[in-house]
Amino acid sequence: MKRIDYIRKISICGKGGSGKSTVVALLARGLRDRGRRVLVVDSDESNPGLYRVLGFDKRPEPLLGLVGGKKEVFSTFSEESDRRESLLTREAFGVADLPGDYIVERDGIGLVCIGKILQSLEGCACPMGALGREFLKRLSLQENEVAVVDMEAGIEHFGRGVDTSIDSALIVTEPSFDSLELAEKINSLAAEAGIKRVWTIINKIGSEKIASRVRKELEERGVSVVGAIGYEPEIFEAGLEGRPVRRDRIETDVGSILNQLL
Amino acid sequence: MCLATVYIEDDGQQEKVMQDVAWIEPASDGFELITLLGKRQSFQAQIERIDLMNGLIVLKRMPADSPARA
Repeated sequence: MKRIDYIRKISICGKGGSGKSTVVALLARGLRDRGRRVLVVDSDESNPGLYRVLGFDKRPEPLLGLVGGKKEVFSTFSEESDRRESLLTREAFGVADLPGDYIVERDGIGLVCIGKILQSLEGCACPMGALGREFLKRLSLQENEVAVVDMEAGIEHFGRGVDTSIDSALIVTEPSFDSLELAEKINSLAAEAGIKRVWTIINKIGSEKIASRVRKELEERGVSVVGAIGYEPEIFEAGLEGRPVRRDRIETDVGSILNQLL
Repeated sequence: MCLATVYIEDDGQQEKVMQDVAWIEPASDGFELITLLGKRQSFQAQIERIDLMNGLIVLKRMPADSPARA
């Protein structure tokens, strides 16, 4: 039977510190191991280190640079067009069309970065939200390609419309009341945004008893739970050292989640 | 959103004409608007209303034979 591969652009969202970037990396590697070509989209304008969590040596140039950056964008557009301008003014483009400086790639996983806050008083991140929305809208994926989007913490991305082209969302939830409440809110905002499939992963689970309790709470709030990742010292050590998680101890958890998603 | 959605008002009707407008430049007979992604469009119009709380700019179209601004 032919499997229907319905996840094309999946966002990973949730409360700050819930483990979104770790889940992005684990998911990207799991999808790659299942034969997908994965493009990770770093849409979090604050956190600096997703590239390290993915095992890259450097971060790609932020896509905001394609429109000249916040300061220089006007002068960029005052000049004659070049290949940088032409990419984002196209109605559609593929992963292969991205200029080399703006993507890092290795072993079937690519990473692009929308933009980062660089200095105090530089203004808000709305341009990054708008650029992320347009990038995801115009990103045309091949049959075996999946985009995994590391969203900014919280829910402002819904207000900015970054989720407009997202077809699936994964909420990372940790065992705290705030996190559960936010998962419920995200579930509802995602439905309003037209995202077809929304699931939750429970992260940082210390015991089966806590897992059952959190799962019950989420289900009572109408949130669908797709799996749990146990409390695992390796994840915290990797986070402390700014390196990829060694999957051997947790790949069962992630594999089980992917089996349900795909 | 800090970037503006721009509507133009003509004969009492409002029409959305641009999204993600980042710059507005005065032009000889109105304004040139430029989006974050570099799309430019000029309007022979005057500013009717700017609502920064909601990221809205409403322009009012000027007849072709009228001065753009009083």
